[in-house]
Amino acid sequence: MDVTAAAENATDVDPAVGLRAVVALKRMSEQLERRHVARARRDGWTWQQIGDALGVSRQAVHRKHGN
Amino acid sequence: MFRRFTGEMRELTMAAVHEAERRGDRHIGTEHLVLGLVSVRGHELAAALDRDDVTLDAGRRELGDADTEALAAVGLGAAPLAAEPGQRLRGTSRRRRWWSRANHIPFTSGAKDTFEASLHTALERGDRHIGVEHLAGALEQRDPRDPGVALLRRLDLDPSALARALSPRGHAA
Repeated sequence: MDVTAAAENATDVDPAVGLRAVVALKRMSEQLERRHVARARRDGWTWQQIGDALGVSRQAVHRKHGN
Repeated sequence: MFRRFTGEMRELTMAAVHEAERRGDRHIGTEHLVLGLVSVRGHELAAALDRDDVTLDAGRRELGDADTEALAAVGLGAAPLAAEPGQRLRGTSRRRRWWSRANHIPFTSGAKDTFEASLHTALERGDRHIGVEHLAGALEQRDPRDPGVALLRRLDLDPSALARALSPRGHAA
């Protein structure tokens, strides 16, 4: 399948496939967040700075990623 | 309802929970139930259907491939990151009360409906316990769009053939 053509015709994709892509992206997004929040903490970032970078509150980040 | 599960159905369910957590999925869906089914009855299915590829590895691979293909289909060439467990589950004990939601991610409504349908199948057949063969009967009734049915399709497993292959043999009365 030609990926460029697929991108331009994204609405022609079978919904089952498109929705699967959404779920896969969400999962990957969660994984990236976990990894890079951990990395940020190892580099000395404060929860506030991480929250600012993610566009969420310090409390939300700490609740989600704190130990 | 879970109290009516056979030991094997409980094992299947725990395997499904494990597979979902392993992938970092946020809900346990019918696709994970299918992985659970393959993990407890893969050998028997392979023998009954004269196949050598009804394995958990094959199931995991097909699920991963489905994700890769879906991302490509919407214009994202990146392969998904390798499966890794989700946040909430790090450090939790592996021994858990499997019928309690407290220690695992929730089931999708499709998975819950499949459990209910398994119960109905068991009742229709006059069986007191809900076994793997009843789950197979329930999967046979699901819509083709169901993720578990889609995974069976990728594995070249026809839901009806599966249900027939898993009819109880010498089931104790």
